[in-house]
Amino acid sequence: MTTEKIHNRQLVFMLFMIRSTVTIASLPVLTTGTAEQDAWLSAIVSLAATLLMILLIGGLAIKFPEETVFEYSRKLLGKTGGTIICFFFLWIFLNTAATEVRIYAELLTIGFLPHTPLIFLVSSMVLLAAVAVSLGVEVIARTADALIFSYIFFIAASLLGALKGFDFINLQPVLSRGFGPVFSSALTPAALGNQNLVLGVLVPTLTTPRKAIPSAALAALLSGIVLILSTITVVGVLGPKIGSSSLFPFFLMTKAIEISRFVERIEALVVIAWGLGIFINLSVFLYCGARGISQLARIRDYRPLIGPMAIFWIILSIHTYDDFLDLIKFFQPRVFFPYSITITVLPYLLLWAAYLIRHAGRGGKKYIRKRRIKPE
Amino acid sequence: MLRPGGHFLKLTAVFCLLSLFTTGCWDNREPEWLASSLLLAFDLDEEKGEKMYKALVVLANPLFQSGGESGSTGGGGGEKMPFWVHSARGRTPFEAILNLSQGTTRQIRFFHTQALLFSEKLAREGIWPVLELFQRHRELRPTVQTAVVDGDLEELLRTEFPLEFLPSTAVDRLLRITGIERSIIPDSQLLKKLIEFTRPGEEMILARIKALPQKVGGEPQGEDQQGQQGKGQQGKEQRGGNQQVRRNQQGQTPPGPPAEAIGAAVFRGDKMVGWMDGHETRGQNWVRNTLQRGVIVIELPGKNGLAAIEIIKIWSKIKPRINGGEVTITVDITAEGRLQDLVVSPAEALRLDKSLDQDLEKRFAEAIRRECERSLTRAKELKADIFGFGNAIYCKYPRLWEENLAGRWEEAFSRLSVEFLVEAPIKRWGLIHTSPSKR
Amino acid sequence: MKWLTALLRGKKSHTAQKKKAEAGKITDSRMDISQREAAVKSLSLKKSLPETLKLIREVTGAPGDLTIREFRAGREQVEIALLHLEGFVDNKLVENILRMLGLGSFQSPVGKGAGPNLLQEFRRRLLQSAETKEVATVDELWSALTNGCTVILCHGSATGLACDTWGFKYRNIEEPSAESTIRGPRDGFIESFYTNVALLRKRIKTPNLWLEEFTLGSLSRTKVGILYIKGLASEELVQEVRQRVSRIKTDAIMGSGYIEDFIEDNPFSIFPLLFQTERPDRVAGCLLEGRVAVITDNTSFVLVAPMDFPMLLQAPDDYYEKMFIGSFLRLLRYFAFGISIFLPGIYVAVIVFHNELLQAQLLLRIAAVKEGVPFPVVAEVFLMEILFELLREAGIRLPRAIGPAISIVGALVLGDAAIRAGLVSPPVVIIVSLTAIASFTVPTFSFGIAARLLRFIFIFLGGAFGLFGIQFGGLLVLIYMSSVRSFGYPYLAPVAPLILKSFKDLAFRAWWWRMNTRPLLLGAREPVRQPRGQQPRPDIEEEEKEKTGKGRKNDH
Repeated sequence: MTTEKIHNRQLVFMLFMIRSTVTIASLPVLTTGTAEQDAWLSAIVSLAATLLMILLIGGLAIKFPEETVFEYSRKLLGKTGGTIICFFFLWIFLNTAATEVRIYAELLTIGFLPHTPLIFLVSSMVLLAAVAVSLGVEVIARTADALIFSYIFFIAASLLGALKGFDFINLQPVLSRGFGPVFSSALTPAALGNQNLVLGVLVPTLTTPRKAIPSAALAALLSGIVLILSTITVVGVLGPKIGSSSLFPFFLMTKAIEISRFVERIEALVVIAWGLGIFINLSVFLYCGARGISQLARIRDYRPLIGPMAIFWIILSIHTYDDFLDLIKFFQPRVFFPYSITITVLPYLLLWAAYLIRHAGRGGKKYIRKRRIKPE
Repeated sequence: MLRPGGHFLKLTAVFCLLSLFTTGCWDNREPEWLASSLLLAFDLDEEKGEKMYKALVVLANPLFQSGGESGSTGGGGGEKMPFWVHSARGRTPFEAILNLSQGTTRQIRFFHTQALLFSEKLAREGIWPVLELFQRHRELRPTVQTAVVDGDLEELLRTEFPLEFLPSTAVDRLLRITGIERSIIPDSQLLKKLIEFTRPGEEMILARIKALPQKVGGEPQGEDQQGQQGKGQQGKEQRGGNQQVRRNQQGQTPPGPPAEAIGAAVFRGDKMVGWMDGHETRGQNWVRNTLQRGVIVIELPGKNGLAAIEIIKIWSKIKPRINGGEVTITVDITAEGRLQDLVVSPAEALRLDKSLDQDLEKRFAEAIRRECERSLTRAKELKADIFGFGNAIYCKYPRLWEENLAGRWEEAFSRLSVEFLVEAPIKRWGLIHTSPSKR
Repeated sequence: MKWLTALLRGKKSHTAQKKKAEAGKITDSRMDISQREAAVKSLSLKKSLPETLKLIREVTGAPGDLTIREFRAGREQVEIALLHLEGFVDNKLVENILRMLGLGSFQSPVGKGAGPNLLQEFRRRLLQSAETKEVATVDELWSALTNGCTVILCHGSATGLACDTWGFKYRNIEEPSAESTIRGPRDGFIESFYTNVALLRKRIKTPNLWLEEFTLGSLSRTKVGILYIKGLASEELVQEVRQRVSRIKTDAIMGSGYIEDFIEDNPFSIFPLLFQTERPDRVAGCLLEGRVAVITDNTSFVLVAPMDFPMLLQAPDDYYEKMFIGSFLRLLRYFAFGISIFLPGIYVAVIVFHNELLQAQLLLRIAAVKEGVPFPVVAEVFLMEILFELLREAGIRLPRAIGPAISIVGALVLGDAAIRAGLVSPPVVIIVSLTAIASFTVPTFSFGIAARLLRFIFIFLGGAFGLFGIQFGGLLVLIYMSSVRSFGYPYLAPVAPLILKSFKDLAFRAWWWRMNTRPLLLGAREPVRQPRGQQPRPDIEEEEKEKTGKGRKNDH
């Protein structure tokens, strides 16, 4: 396997698109929990939580700059323990990607193509991702490079266009019910930070792995800012009640944009932007999943695995949820938050514990040496 | 290792082949199968004692060659009407609009609906089912203009509007363009109304379209107007608001305006409770910063004439205050006026000086204040807080609102003391500063 | 049965196998070409002139353009033969040589064995006027003849003397028809190898412009050359080009397209991976960026490697006009390029699947004029596109006089008649003609073909799956283009690996005083092209004086 390298900047773009696509499309910060007009505060809280998660995941990743999380988890926790943890992570890649593509397909069905079968929409996107992954992670990174401007432009255009109908009163009263609802709405978006798990697999492919945390943090920050702005705009235009009761508030807001009698139906732009984002999403997750399985099963090349994995993905995304309401129930804070914490944070805490124990034990001299001012 | 080129070619070939076979599946809609609904209206009907929703739709006639290019293809000569009104009934609004497809030869698509109208009957019964339909339905957009029709809904839809081909454009422009001129209707975008509805402490207020009876000498109205007039006649009769009664070739007198947008329908919840006339609605507009233009006629000091002042800009701030356990509202209104007209005899042409100016300003401000008071009185009469005072209180004192006032705002509103403080400088005077006179 | 067993065993069938090159007698007319070639290689000139001439006649079949003049010269009256190929030589030069040889007497101490000495004597005399070379085998002789030399054979000498008398009639240097500019130079490459090299050397006069020559094609023996600026082009790139070119084994190279097929990275690519142009200023520009040019004899198209996507949409005029005009035109071209690929597909997708995206009145208009047209929208667009493609192809082959007439006939009459007959609707004709016009703004012809293919694919995708299909197709094309590398350099640079510094020459053209660095990937050896701060401004002289003393690179 030739080693492929992606630039840190490409990581930033990829992570940005991954983080912002689903959170803006379905805006869980508004539709789950009880924050309503204070949803933007929840967005800030979830940004902070995501940064913490990046420190957690990325911090360990840069300690092993040449290895993916599948490799060093086995080193740290032994073969059995490590393999169990790897299965957790593989499941996350699988499930998150399947869920996200399902959300996208549902959006298309609800908004544009009501009679097209879901499986067709899902399999087209997965097919695209499979092609990209089979060409290598460098290609995915370069495609992200090429797409990032369009992505940002479409979203920015939608946001700017919506400003005409913006009304500050919709955002008030601020914090009328205290911080409780703010936190309740921040749970799901923060839990969506499990998307940052891809760092574990992507860090070895970077040109400067040591700078992985600043890059990932930058991506999280940018996507967080976009989320905050989107939330403010959506709530300002639609009002808190309508916003929190709709399935895709951002989409509904773009339907309400009417800049002039001629420029009025630009919701297609934002749906295309999400299509691009979902593509990058799927490609990266498929790559991580394929890499993971190939490392677990000691197969040298992950490429032959892509075909079966893609099919599995498609089936999973269709059958995991009976319908969209099922998916929404899954995203409720009291379900999604514990699930994500258990599956993401807990393993990483174990890994960190193992790492510290090992290094405190074995490399105790390292720490001791640091304290001494003069060398021996 | 996958060769990029080979894979791409194969994929493309497969997809092209597949797509050749699937053309015609799923969601494609050739334009020939569709009829676009331009205006949707809902009425209430009864059938065997059961309440039925009646949906009326104005469909665009694709065979009509608007603009009349000679030699264009397509069926139909120039005789067809540009639109067609169709109606159907159902137990829910959605069933009603689905039933519309019976009797039409094409699928109806509601994407281009420009306006949503309610009949007074339905408005008084409650319009929430329709509003919910508009939020849920994929094809209906929340940017439509909406109003309640005072008069015969169906006849209004069938009327041929002078200056417009389609009643939908006519209604849309009535609400968006002409209503703005005098600010006598509230904001008519559906989304804004929905937001109003969902806000605590605020009630919905919809624009009112008055369907005017058509006074034409001796000829029956309605159906006849439909197929008779070609394009040529329209242009001839209605040029520049000419009101002279001229008999046209068929001996009919030209009709007056078929509808006016003036006033508002006040709602409590989703049920209409009463009408407001033009000035009362305007008062409400001033307080809510929705529309900004209008004309106020005031008396000149010394009672020797009238002045017409055009409002250029007006903005207001609602300030709730707690005065010893009671909540009061102060509304600060600032308006800018432009003196447009003076009705005085030429002998007494006035020179505009500072004192006259200040006097005029005081009267101007007083006139605005009176309008707002009038509006408030009417709203209190109807027990509907259309100004959003409740919401303002909620925004500023949320705890107080939730503890005391949330459930019983209607009662509290009628006892609410509101003070209007108006400042109204007259900043412009048109092109001249003194009326030129013989002296 | 033999072929079946050979097939099953995986051996090539007997018809495909090259016959062993037995060096049979050259007069054996049953020999195949490969055997003849092998046989010719082993032949050398004989001492006796009549034998040599007879050999030559046997090998070449005594063609009419091989002119052999035999005469005797010198006091010994030695038999001498002068050979040249008609059409290759300049007759004046041949007469010159004849004069120097045959007329008059020369006092040379030639005695017995005059053959080789005579030749040396000739050589000495001719040295003043022409380049001379010795030829010893029939192969070398023929190669000299086809390079425009006149060969002198002497009785008694087994070698001949070849003198350069090149006089092939080429066309004049004129503006290339497919790539014309308004403000740029109007010379274009022609079919002469060295003239083309000279056109480039004229623009890049540094001695560091190196040329490496190869002879490719066993039958055509075409001269192919690689040109690069030593020290600027990366050594790996040059080595790669050198390797790929030198290992071509074919029988003939008829044009640069043949070489392109052999050396390109991905033969399945619909996008061109090597840049072809007839303009020396474009090639010179590429060389200065660190690229490598491949010149082929007998063709006026020069290849440039590596190639990236932005090169396709750049025209030389951008650089010669003012910055704003150049940038505007370039942006226009990008926009037109997008239109030429996507517009028909988007039209079909929107009309058929997403008519809610159109404004109400627009949709009503389109629907109104579409009433009564018997075809679905996809078929309409497809038909019109095919019609346009036919017109386009026909227009290329027609003689110049009829060309414009046919295009007018085609476009106006056919299109108009189709509308009147109700077979297509006017918006479709508008869309298709707009697309056609937009596609002509792409300066590079070879890419136009790729664009046409893509357009059809997008029409299908749009008609079958709407905007989703177009998004799918667009992403597929993008993924594919991102994965392509031309000679190791990513095809979509500077967009794909995002290099913001190179954006100054991408969608718009920055002023020349801003182009301080070369394209980053190519010019990595010497990234700085010129010193900074050369924007024309009033006090530039004073500022330069102040700055002198600080060392700056590339300061001539």
